[in-house]
Amino acid sequence: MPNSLEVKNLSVERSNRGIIKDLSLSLAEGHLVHLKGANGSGKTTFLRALAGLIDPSHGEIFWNEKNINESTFSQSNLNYVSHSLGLAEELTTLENLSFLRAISRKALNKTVEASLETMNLKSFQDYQVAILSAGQKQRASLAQLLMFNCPLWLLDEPFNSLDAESCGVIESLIDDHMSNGGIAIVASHQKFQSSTVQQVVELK
Amino acid sequence: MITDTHNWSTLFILVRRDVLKTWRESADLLYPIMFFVLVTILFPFALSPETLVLKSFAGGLLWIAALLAMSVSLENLFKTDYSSGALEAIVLSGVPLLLVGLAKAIANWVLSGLPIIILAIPLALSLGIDTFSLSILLLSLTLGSATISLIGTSIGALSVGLRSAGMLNIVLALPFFIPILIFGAVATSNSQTGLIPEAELYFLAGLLVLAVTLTPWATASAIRTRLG
Repeated sequence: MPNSLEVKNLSVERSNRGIIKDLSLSLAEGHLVHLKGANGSGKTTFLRALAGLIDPSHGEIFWNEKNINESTFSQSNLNYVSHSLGLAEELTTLENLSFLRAISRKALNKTVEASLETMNLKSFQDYQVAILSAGQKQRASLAQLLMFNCPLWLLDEPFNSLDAESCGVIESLIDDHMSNGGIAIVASHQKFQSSTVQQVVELK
Repeated sequence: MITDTHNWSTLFILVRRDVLKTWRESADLLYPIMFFVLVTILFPFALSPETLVLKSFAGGLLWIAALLAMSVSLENLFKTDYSSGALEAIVLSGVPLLLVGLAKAIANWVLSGLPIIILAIPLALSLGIDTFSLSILLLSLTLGSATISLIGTSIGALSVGLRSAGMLNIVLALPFFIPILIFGAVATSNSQTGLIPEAELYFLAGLLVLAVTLTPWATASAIRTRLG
């Protein structure tokens, strides 16, 4: 059965303030959505709701036609890279990623070393995350995309702090994922060059 | 709760990571231990340098110092993992949150409970405690500190992301810690006066079993709630 993601009339409220109102989306394999919007428009909230970190106030989310709240949907289906990066500053890049790979219930893909190699971080693998530059931290976090074989990618501002070359690497990763039948939602307020974008959703 | 070998190895990996992370941040590691030593050393200045007086207060004194030092250690349990997004990444890895809560508690005990128990040996001897009472003190500290770590982890998870979480943790946790303090201190003082401390130790063991059974669930639920 091909993978699909369907969002029906999703609303999220925080402190009685509606952040997302009645958002509906339907994504099939190979479908890439560019989520746009100003700061505070709810891009991160939407991705967090899809990742199961926030309970929506209204609406439903279906993964492969099954409601994620009622089915056995697990986070093992998704790769979520948040803008807070998810790396412990006290540990090295290698330790952080090896730890995530070791505990994860997701299907494995590339090794940690190979993922870091692709992200041009092999020579920095033994550096503590605290001393890496913002761009290197971002690339280290995005290396998770290569380590796990997940059909759904939720990327929150993946191009933050990246130079043009690194942006190109990430875009080609996204393109590869799409050509392999993946589904992706990329929240970014930056211009997104990928030719595989099929839908642009602007949150207000 | 932990049914297969994968879960055991995951628990070990989670504990090892937390220990390594705190070890690298040496201030987090040393602060509670220094607190314990300093409080214990300062008491004789305020009370009396007389061995007989110190001996009679030693059990309660060491227990108060241990409890306060462990309360201090709770502040940073989830702080850096929350602010760096690492806690979110762990949750999204699909690992059972029960294991995350249990691992945090075990790591907290290894990094603050265990050093406090070890340091209690020379400190108790310097306060004039005899070897039998020392063994009871160490046993009560082992049972009590493990319970404190488990309860403290649940409370630490409840205050994840809140300002002044450290003070809030202590205020919320102290009512739960008072029975542990009472049974721990009374067990030691009973052993010093020739009474059998069996009942107090059984109570502490019972509290530990209760904490092991209930707190990982509470921690898991608190993590999920606070992240949302």
